[in-house]
Amino acid sequence: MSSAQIRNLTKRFGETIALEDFDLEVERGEILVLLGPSGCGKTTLLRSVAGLERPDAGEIYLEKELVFSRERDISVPPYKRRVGMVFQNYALWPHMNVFDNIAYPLKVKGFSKGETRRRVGEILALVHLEGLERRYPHELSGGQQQRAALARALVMEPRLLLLDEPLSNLDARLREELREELKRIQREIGITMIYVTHDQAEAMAIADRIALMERGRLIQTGPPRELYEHPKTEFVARFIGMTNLLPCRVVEAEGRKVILLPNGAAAEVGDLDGLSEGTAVLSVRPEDIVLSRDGGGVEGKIEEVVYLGNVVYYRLSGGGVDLRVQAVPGKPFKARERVYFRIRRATAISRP
Amino acid sequence: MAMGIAGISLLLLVAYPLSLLLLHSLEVGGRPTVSSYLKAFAERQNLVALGNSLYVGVAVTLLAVLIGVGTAWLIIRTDIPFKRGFRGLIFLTFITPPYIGAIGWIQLLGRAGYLNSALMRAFNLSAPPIELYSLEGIIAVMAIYLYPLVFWATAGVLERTDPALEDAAALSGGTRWRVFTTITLPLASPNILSAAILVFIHTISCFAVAAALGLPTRHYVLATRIYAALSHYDVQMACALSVVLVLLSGGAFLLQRVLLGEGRYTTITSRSRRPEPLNLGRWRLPATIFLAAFTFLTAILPLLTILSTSLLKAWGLPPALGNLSWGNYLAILQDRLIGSALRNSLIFASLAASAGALLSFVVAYISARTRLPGRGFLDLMATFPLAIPGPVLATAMILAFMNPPFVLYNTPWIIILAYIVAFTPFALRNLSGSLRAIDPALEEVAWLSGASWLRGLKDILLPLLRPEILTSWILVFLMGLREIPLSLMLHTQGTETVGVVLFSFWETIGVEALSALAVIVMLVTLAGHLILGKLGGRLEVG
Repeated sequence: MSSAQIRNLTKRFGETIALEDFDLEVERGEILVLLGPSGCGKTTLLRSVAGLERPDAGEIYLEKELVFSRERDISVPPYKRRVGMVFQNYALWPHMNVFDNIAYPLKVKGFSKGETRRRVGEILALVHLEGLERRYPHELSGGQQQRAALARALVMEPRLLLLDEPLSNLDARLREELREELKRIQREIGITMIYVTHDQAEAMAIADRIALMERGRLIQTGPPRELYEHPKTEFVARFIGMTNLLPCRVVEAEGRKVILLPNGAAAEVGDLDGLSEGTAVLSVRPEDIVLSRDGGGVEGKIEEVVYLGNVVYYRLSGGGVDLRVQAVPGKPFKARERVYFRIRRATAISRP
Repeated sequence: MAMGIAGISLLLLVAYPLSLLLLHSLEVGGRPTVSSYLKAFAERQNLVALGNSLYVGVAVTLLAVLIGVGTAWLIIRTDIPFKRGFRGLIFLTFITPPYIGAIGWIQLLGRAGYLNSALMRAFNLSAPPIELYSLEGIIAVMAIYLYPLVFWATAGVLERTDPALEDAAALSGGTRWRVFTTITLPLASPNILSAAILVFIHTISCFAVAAALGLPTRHYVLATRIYAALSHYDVQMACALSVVLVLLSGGAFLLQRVLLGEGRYTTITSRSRRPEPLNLGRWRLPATIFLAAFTFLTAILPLLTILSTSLLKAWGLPPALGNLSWGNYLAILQDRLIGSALRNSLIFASLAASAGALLSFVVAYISARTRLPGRGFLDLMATFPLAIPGPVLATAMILAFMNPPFVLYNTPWIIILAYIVAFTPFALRNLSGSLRAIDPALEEVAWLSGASWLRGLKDILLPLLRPEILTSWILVFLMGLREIPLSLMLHTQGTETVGVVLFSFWETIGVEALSALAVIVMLVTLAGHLILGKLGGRLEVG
C-alpha cells in the first residue's frame, strides 16, 4: 500500500522550473531517497509534500487522503497533514529546552502533562538523548541537535517523515554513525521516510529505493543496486558511482555479441545488458575491466596510477578511448606499461 | 488579511495625504496649474528660505562629517586616553533632543545668556559678542546634535576594518597619514556618505531648532516658512513649499537607498586583532584637552545649564545653594496645562508606539516572509516618511483629515496618526533586520508540529522577536514624547503635548518651569536609552 502518491506535480519559480510533471509513489515503511544535484527540485518536492510550497499543478495523496490538488483547489495546510520534517540546520527553537522542543507537537494537540511526559520519555530513549531534557539547543553538539530534531518530528507519530539533507552539517564520522541510527530507528518504528540528499554514497547506504532527479524531472527509480547496475541514462550512470562511457557498435559474430571500440578493435563482453545489434553507448564500471599482462583482450597502455591502499586506480588508453580501471593491488602495473584488458560486464545506454 | 490591513492603513496614512498634498499644490479652483509654485517663489522670502535651507543643510553636513570623522579617528585609532568616557559623552549628545539642546544654548548664548553676559562683563562690551539667533547659530547647534550620526558610522567601520589591509599599504612604503587617507578613509567612505546624507535630510527637515533660533530674527528656512504659511491659513502656499522641501529630502532619501542597494557596503571582515593605535606623541596632551573641552562644551554644558535653571528660584540669580529649590518641579506638577500636556504626550506616544510596533511587524513579516506582489511598495510606503519633514507631514495630514470622508482635525487622533506615520520607519528598520535573521524553518517546523499559523506566531516568532519589538516600542515612544512640529501644527486646545509647551509657552510658564520640564523629558529619554542598551537594541534616533 502506498504511503504517499505524487501525480503530475509541476512548480515554477518565475522562469525556473523546479518540478515538471512529476510522478512518484512511496511505499509504506520504506526509505525513499530523493537524489540529485543541487537545484534539481528535490527540496521543492519535499516542501510540497509537507505543504510548505504550493505547486502550480498536480495532486498529492498521503495514504488515501487527497491533501493537495490544484485542479480541485484542495490544499490541506501543513499543520493538518500529520507529516514530520527534519531540516538541514535542525531548526530547533532556541528559546525552548530539549524537552519543550520535543513536547511542543503534543502540547499543541492538547495532551495531558502526564501523557506528554511519558511520550517524550519514550522518544528520548529511542533517539538516545536521555538526561539532556533541560539543555538548550546551543548547549548540544551537532549530532545531539539532529537527534532532538528527529525526536520532535517523530513524537506526534506522523504518517510520513521527511528529511531534508539531515546529515550534511555533520562531519564524516558522525554522518556515518547517525545514518546507521536513522536506519535502526526506522526499522524499530516502521515509519515511511522520504530522504533528500545530493550525496550518492549516502543515498546508496540508506535507501530502500532511490528516486534520481534532474532538472525537476524523475529520471529513474529503483533499489540502489538496480540503479548502479542498470542505469537507464548516461546521467544515471555518471551520477551513481564512477563509470566509463564507451561509444561503440554491437555486432553478432558466430552467435556471440561482440563490441567494436572506436578504433575498430573488437572486444568480447562477458555480460551485455540491454541492446542487441547497432550503435550504442556502453557504461562500463571501473571494476568491470580486467587487466592482464598475458595478451587476453584488447591492447592498451597504462597512463597513470593512483594507489589508495585497498584499491588501485588506473587511467588506461586503448581501443581509441580513455578508461578508468579499478583493481586490487596485487601486483600493480606501472605507468607506461603495455597491458591487455577485457570487459566483464557493460550496460547499454541510449544517449538522452 | 494582515497584508490588506497594513496596505490599507499605509495607503490611507502615507500615500493618500501625500497625493493630496501634491494634487493640492497643482490646482487652483479645480483647474490644474502651477500658479501656486509661481506665486510662492515670487515672494522673495520663500526664495531666500530655499537658499537658506540648502546653505544650512550643506554647512551642517560638512561640519558634521568633519567633526564626526575627526572624533572617530581620534578615539578609535589613536592612543588618546579616556576613550570610554569620550564615547559616553558623544552618546549623550546623540540622544539629547536637539530642541532641548537649543534651550540650553539659548540660556548660554542668548542676548542675556550666561556666557554672553560673562563675555560682555569680561571684555567690557556693549553688545553680546555671539549672535545665536542667526543661520550660523542654527548651523552650529544642528551640527552639534547631528555629528554623532557620522561618528557612529565611521567608528563602526574603523573598528571592523581588517588591519591587514592597512599593514599591506604600510609595507608598500606608505606613511601612517598616507595609509589613512588612501586606504582607511576610502574604505569607510560609503558609510560616511550614507551618514552624511542622513544628516542632510535631518537638517533640512528640522523645524524646532530652526524656528527657535531663526524666527526671532526673521531668518527663515523652508520648514519654518511652511509653518508660517499655515499659521496664516495659506494652505496653497504651504502645499507648494512642502512639495519642494519633500523633493529635496525625498531625493536625498532615494539616493541613499540606491547607494545602500548597490552593495557597496561590503562588510569588512572582523578580526580579533585590533590595529596598533597611532602614537600621538607630544600631540597627545593637546589633543586630549581639545577633545575633552569639545565634548564637555557640546554634551554637558547645555544640559547643566538647563538643570541649574530648573533648580533656580529665579532666572538670572547666581547658582548658589541659597538660590536653589525644587519649587519649579512642584510648580509644573501642579500646573494644569503642563499636567495635561504630560498626560497627552504619554498617551499619544504610547498609542503611536503600540500601533507603530504592530504595523512595522506586519510590514517586516510581509517583506521578509512572503512573495506577495506589492510587498516592495508596502515597504517603501512604510519607510518613506523618514524623508518627510515634520511641517510637510503636518500639512499633508491636515489636507487628508480636515474634510470628509475622514474628519479627524481638532481631535487627538490626527496627532497620534501623524506620530505613527513619522516614527514607524524607525521601528521597521529596527525589526526587519532581526526578522530576516530568523530562519523561516523555525516557523515551518511549528506548522508541521500541528500549530496553526497564528499559534506558530505566538509560540515561536513573537517570543524570538520580543527584544526587538520592545525596543521598537521604546524608540517610537521616546520620539513621540519629545516631538514638536507635528503636535504644534496639529494640536488644538486640550490636545497640547510636551513639545507644544516646550516650544510655545516660554512666556506663559517661565523659563525656570520650562527648564524643569526639559529636564524631565531628558531624564525619561536617558532612562529609555539605558533600557534599550540593556535590551541590546540598536540606538537610532532621528
